[in-house]
Amino acid sequence: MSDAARQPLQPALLGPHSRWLSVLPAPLYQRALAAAQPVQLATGQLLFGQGEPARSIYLLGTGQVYLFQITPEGHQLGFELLLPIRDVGLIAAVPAARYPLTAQATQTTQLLTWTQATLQSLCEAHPPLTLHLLQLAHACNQQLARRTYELATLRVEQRIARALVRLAVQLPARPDPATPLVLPVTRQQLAELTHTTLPTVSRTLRTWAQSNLLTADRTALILHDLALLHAHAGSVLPITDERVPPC
Amino acid sequence: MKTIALPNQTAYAYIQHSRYFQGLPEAALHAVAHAARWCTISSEQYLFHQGDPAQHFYLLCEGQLRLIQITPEGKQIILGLLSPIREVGIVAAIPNAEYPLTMQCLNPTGTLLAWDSASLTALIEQYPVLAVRAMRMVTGRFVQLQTLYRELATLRVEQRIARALVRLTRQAGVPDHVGGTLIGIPLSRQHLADMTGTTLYTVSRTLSAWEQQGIVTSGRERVIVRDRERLIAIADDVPSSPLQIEPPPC
Repeated sequence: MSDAARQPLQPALLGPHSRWLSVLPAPLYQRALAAAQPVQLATGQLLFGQGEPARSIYLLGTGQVYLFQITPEGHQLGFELLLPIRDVGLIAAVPAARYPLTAQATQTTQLLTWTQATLQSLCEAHPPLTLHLLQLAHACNQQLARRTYELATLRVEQRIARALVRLAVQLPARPDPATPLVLPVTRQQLAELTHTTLPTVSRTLRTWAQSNLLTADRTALILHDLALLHAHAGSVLPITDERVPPC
Repeated sequence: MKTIALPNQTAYAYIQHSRYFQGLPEAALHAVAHAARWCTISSEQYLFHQGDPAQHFYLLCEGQLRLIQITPEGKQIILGLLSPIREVGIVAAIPNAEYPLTMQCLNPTGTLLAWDSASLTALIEQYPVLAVRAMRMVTGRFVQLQTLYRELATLRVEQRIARALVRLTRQAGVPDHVGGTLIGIPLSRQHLADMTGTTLYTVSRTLSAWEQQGIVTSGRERVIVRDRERLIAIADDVPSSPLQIEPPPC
């Protein structure tokens, strides 16, 4: 467990990074921060399961959350690896909705959470929040439509490159841009995220390692050349919407 | 698109039966009808294009609309058809949003009720249930997109083609005189390839095989489903995602 994960979360430091909290006027923003409850998950624990009633919205503070769909045949279909600081579970703004994906902690993870009732009372106190949540939900859709299109049209190598770029851009800014980026992703996750096989992922990574794009070991990838990875990702589609909640 | 004058009474009837406005108190329904304008659109005309500023919310009262997605390369993908009574363009409630899809009129004419963004926003602020329903519509599109995404990732290509055809017969099927169902919109093999994330070659090969088995007949921009049961059996081979999904509106 890292030191960061052992310290209690400080809502005041996380709040400005949330896409919805930050639109609240000052007094309500303070009220919302005060209403936040901390949640801690151990590696492997579920934050929520696909199909469960969506009763809480979350803000990922430390750690890592893996989002995936479970197909009716029981396969895991990777959706996104989330790194701090990200909103997740936006769908809790809709009464009686269910989470569309499963969210699992893949490290010791800390989050802040708000109940649906709190969210509703904030919307009542500040109606523009509702329209803002609507805007975020729309951005989620746009992101998913783009991902669907990627899946339909891009080569597997491009999809792997895009999954890595998506992860890289979530990492905190480095003081020295020459420092290698450590991407906390396993090959299995990468295969699930890009809907390909483990051998294909391994083969692709090996080729890239030979051209010094990255170094791969069992639990992490060390990225040496983000610009080159971007080139592999193709330029037709934008790769990410900054900090849009995944669902 | 033309603005036309129709009695308020007619608007009230459609509004009352729409999923978005139903159940509002009578005074609210009158306010909604009062803020609406009637418009008509003729065949092949566009209601809006993907990327246009979302300035109006519509209720499709008569006619049919084709949902088209334009890819970054400029290809058109038909996502499905909308039939009355359907809400279109809820994203107009969102400040500075753009329409995520193109909507084109299919039948000789379409008749719609329209609200501009300002009227829609005012109604949402006045009747909070409309805010909740708007959110439900937008997140509902997420769930539909997710189904399409999952199908693309997990189903075999012939299952995807079968699903696309079954859905299109549900949305736009016209019985022909010999017991088949004509898909009542122009549908080229390239369109079908784009819809299912595959190549023209694979679609042609699959349709040819199905033609030999008497499942479909296809011609230029025309597909007739001859044996719907067998097509459904191919589509439903895995007890996977539901065959009955509505096309993701916006």
